[in-house]
Amino acid sequence: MHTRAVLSRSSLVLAGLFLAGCATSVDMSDLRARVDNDESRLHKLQSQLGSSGGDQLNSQIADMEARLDRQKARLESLRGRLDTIDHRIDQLRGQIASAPAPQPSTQPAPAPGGTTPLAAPVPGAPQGGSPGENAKSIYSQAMRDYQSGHFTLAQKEFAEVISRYPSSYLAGSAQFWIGQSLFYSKNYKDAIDAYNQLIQKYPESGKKADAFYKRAMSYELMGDKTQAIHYYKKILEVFPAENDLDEKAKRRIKNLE
Amino acid sequence: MENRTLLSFCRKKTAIRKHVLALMAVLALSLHLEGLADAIDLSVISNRTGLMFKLAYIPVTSGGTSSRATQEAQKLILRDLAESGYFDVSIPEPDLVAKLQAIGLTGEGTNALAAGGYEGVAAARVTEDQTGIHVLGIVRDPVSGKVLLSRQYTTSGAARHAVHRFVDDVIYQFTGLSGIARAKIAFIGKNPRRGYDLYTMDFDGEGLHRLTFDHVLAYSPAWSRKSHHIVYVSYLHMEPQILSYDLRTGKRSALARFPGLNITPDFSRDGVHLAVALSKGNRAQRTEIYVTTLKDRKFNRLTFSRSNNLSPSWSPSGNQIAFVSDRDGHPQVFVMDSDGTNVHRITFNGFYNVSPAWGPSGDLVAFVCMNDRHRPKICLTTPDGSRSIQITHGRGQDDSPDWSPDGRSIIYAHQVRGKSVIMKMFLDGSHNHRIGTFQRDVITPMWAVP
Repeated sequence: MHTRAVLSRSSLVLAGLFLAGCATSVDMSDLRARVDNDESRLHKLQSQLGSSGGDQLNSQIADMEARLDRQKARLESLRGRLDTIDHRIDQLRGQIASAPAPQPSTQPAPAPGGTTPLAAPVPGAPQGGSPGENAKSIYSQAMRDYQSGHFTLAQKEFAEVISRYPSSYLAGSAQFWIGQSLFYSKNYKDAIDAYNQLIQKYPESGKKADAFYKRAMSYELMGDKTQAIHYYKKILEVFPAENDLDEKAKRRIKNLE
Repeated sequence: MENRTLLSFCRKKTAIRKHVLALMAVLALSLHLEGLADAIDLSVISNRTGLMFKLAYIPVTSGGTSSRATQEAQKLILRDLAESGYFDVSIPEPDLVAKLQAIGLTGEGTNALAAGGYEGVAAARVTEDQTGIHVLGIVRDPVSGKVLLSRQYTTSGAARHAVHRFVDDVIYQFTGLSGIARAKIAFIGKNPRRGYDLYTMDFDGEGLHRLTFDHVLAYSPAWSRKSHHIVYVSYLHMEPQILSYDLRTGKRSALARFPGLNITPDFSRDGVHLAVALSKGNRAQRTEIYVTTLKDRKFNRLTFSRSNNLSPSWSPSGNQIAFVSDRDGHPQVFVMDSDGTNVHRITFNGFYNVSPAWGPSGDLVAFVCMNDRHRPKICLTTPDGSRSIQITHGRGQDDSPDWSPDGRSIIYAHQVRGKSVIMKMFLDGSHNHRIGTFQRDVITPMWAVP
């Protein structure tokens, strides 16, 4: 009963968070559109200035630049809020996943719309704790090994998270860190495969843009300039709002061309 | 016109609803997540911090009267062993000590200590002659009397050099880990009249050495013993520039002197790479993280956000860098790969988290956080930001944390009533004490990277 109450309460909070997250995302999309609009107007004004000149246009451009800066600052601030909310959602997911699963024999059937465990074990999974706890425990150990530079060991442990708990919220992140472990082991070919898997299997992953970049970088480090340039360009195409990565990609392209 | 007004009203209503929902969610979160900040499990480091051996120490006299230097050396051995945190060290009952001293270091009679639960017996005979000070250090198993360590340490300088080497060997004998008795600390100290200068000292605050006599504002030293260089920020030329001090030659050169801010250097563990924050003439003085080497001095830019990015700290593997950025509106600690990709935030509690220092074991990052009273304190977090904890408490302001080379303790600047001193503590908060006897204010103490 207690477990159900916890899960039910957590699901409410998660729903609230989901809405809050959506609200922030909408804000960000709106703001991004406005920034893009202002930028195009700025370019237009600049081209007009080039042909006609004039103090009024200069003043307009200065105003536009100030406005653009303010909006970019707001955008970054919103992104910060989104980061915080994402982090808290992750913590809640961890809590929910760590809560003991309801016993089918003793618990009444869940009400329609009730929560289901986020991480369901596959046969052969350890029975020591809840699936969420086990997945988190292996994932944490893998992260520790990764941070200590034990990449081969970390890669195996991240793979274990995916194979044993494929529906865990940690599976997408684990896939990214497999790529990272391979990348820093200088096994670029397998790293590319790992990043591709993340891009295909976990399209909603927050690490998707980084996986795109690391894939391009792996090609570059393998000496395949054509593919590297192709994938760096892909980043500019798919992630126009990722200023940081876009700037890096542009520099890599310039360096390679 | 009416349609436009209605649309505007609807938009406003939607916006209000979004904000209310967001507020509700944050409120619910704050209730649910209260206390999670203290959820860090320090057992991840307890394998090292928790190692404790009961050790008996026998100061052996060589018959005649001992000099002041040899007496001081005996005291220092005892203090070094205790401060290492690995030993519950004590001198046994006087009659037992007298007996063991009388039979010398033969191992006979040491089994009398086994009954007291001692796991080791350390003894040292300190003598002084014209060639210098000699420490004959011996460690025995109290049960079998077997010699675990027997070595003579000689120094023509201060006795503490020999003592530190002996204690490091004792630590290695028991734990298999390197001690820090030969580790060094660099810091910026205030001068009696004006300005600041660069100083170094031993791990225990002894051996104070002043390196510069500039009398200008300086801060953030970074010391790589592999490269024999200390780099630091100095206002010697009126603007904050990063200077490089060659410890072999005593010569200095400017490592980064771009227009604007050249600040917060940090050496990678291999001593080859340096991460720095440069504004490079940016009108808003916004800094970005760059990586360079002492050799080629080419600066490779890693961050491209329209915000302040500073205080880089290398991970021990050299693959990642923790840094501070206000890209989210407030200064927070982020981690990125050393090529500038894979940026993710790792601090989420409060609006002010700065000065990250990545621990040598790779599993923890120390940083400055704000406590409930908005005073800066030292916190620890995991590199993925999943757990964090505040480790300094009480009055005063704490900043500039840095890890000892063995990853077991942290030094930081502690300021109370305007006076700033260097403190050292184990990660679990124990052995928190001031180190060094520097009389004036100190800022940004940093361990030398071994």
